[in-house]
Amino acid sequence: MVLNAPAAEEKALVEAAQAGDAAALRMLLERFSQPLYGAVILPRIGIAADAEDILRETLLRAMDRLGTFQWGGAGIFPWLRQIAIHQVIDHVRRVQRRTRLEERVERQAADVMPLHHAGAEDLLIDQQERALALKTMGAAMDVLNERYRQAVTLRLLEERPREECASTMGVTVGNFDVILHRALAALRKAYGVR
Amino acid sequence: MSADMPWNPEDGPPPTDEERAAAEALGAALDARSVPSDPDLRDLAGVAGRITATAHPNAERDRATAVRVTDGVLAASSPASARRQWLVRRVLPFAAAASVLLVAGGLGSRSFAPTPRNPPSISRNADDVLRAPMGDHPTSSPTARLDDARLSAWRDLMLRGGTR
Repeated sequence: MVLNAPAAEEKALVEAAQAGDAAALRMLLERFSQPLYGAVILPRIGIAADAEDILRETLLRAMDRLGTFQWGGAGIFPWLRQIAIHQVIDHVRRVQRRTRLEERVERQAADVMPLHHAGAEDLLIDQQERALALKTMGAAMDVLNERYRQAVTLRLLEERPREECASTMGVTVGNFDVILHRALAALRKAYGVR
Repeated sequence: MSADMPWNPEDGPPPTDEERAAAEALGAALDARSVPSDPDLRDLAGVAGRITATAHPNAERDRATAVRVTDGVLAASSPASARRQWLVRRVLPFAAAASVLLVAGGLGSRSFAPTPRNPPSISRNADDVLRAPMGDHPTSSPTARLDDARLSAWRDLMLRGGTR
């Protein structure tokens, strides 16, 4: 198969890194760590400190197993992404009580292959990952009742202060806190099966 | 907005005091962009963070974090770091053990050292050996007997627990 120039460059970097070239390894990790963190891990974890830990584990695991990676048409990012997703699932399993069914459905969602190809621009990788995250979020929001969805929209999507959110919804700040708390609990459940 | 405004039944059953307290703590944590210590609230803060990270990506912040983490991982796996880790894992325990033995040896020698209160238990005076009559056997010469006596004294010391 004839590769385009960026794909050929990525393949050469991977092969050099597999052969022990530290500079090639650095270039690979530097290139892909940002989309891994910002578009794959953080939108699935939500807490920056935890997301950093997961990125660290992902990179260490990738370095350990780099020798086992076999070049395919999609390049190395899907392989790195898969490691990251499994780290996310392991993390979630550690900190939450998830049912087997929820985990299974999450794993199926994680197995979806990205559309981009080897050598794709970072921006394209980022956009496609974010589109997936937005789709997941939209599907989770759809199961909320209207009042809960309004609370999440005002507070988190529009980033308005609590007082303003409460006023818009015609409730006290204390009652708004309760509505948002319930909305997030419902979202957690909805996210769990997507 | 009145503080005693009644709860709207459209928003579900009225909250308990406990739920109100948890909701307020979560609201305050989201305001402060801090992470609650309570596991359940932390989990819900994570859900809020997922929404925020998806809706409001911050490429600059993400890049800075990714670079910092990548640098840390690569530095930890560099040959210099590996050498340091090897030194710490392999050499340090032996050095520490050797230090402990030296200290223990020093303390031990102090307790065994001859002092006016603690006279040597075995005399090293060789006069009696040298004054003994000579026999016919080649090993019965005064120097051979002196060697034998010293060897015997040393063996006794060893058997009493000294390592010198």
